[in-house]
Amino acid sequence: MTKNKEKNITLSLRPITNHKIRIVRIITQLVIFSLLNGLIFGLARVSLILPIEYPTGGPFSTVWSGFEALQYGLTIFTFPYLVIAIFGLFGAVAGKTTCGWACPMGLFQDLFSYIPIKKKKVSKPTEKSLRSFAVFIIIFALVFSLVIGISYNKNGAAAKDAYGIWGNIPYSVLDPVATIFATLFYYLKWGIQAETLGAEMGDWKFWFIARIIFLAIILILITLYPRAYCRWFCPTGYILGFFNRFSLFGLKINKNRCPTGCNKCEKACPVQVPILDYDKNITHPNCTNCGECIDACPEGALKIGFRF
Amino acid sequence: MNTRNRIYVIITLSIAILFLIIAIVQSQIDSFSAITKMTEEEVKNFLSGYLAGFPKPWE
Repeated sequence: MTKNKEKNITLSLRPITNHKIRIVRIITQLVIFSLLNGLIFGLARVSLILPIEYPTGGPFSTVWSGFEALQYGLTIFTFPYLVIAIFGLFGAVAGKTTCGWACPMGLFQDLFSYIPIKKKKVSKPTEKSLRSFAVFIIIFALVFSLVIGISYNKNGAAAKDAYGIWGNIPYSVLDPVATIFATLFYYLKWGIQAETLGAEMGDWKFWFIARIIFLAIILILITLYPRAYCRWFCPTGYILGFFNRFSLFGLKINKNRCPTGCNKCEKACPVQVPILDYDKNITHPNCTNCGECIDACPEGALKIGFRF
Repeated sequence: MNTRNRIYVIITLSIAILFLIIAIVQSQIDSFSAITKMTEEEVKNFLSGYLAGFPKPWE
């Protein structure tokens, strides 16, 4: 083989060799997405709770979403031991890794980030302020679930039914993840029929339009700002992000191997983590351990692993 | 990772494991209470899988 041919092959392979972690991550995301939709392949639903954003009532869903299970547990006035245990275990061990490697909404946002439009960035204070949307969603969903739970405990199932579509999992009424993976599917398959879904949903037109508008806003945001839902709105992501500061598994930077501070890692980071501000462990609540920074670093200063 | 973060990890894992054990025990209690509330007919149906091919004393 001539030298020129060898050079051409090396050049054509460069993008792949430069994105080793991204390839592994996308394959992992696709495999997990298939398992989460296991009913398509004949798998059964299992009583497994995972800290991911995926509607439990999805047409092919096999597992429970952690935040939905948390709300449902509160609406039947049960202390959600199992959900707290799952969030604690996943959070303390892997931080926000499930957001980057397993979450279907993460995969969906990654696909949107490949749309060739110039991506925008926000300043650090704005980033911090925008994250309060997630806090608002968490407080709203949990307080509302608890109120439903208290009336359920006092007056039985009839009191819960009085809340209509909000009665079981309050946030799912507006949740854009549920809209993408469940509502739109059911709507396209069956439409909304007055005597079945329409009756169940009460004033369904208003809430259907509201959730479509919310989804449209999210789609625009995730196209312009990569992983915008993860960063600013996702309740699961916010809870797991809290554990990032002390999780066992995560990103580490070796400042001795980063003499120039070329900033390629920060430019590659989809969630705008100020990587170079950290001395050793990267503990930013936005970091999903996706590994884009590792792929981007020409010095090999970043690595992912256990850091106890 | 500094000592404070190590303590946070240990405390979080301890609480999570404790809650996991409580959840498992709770589910076992629920299953046990469901079994103990079974009627005679339900018990017979439940046991039929184990007793297939053997003489049934209640018949």
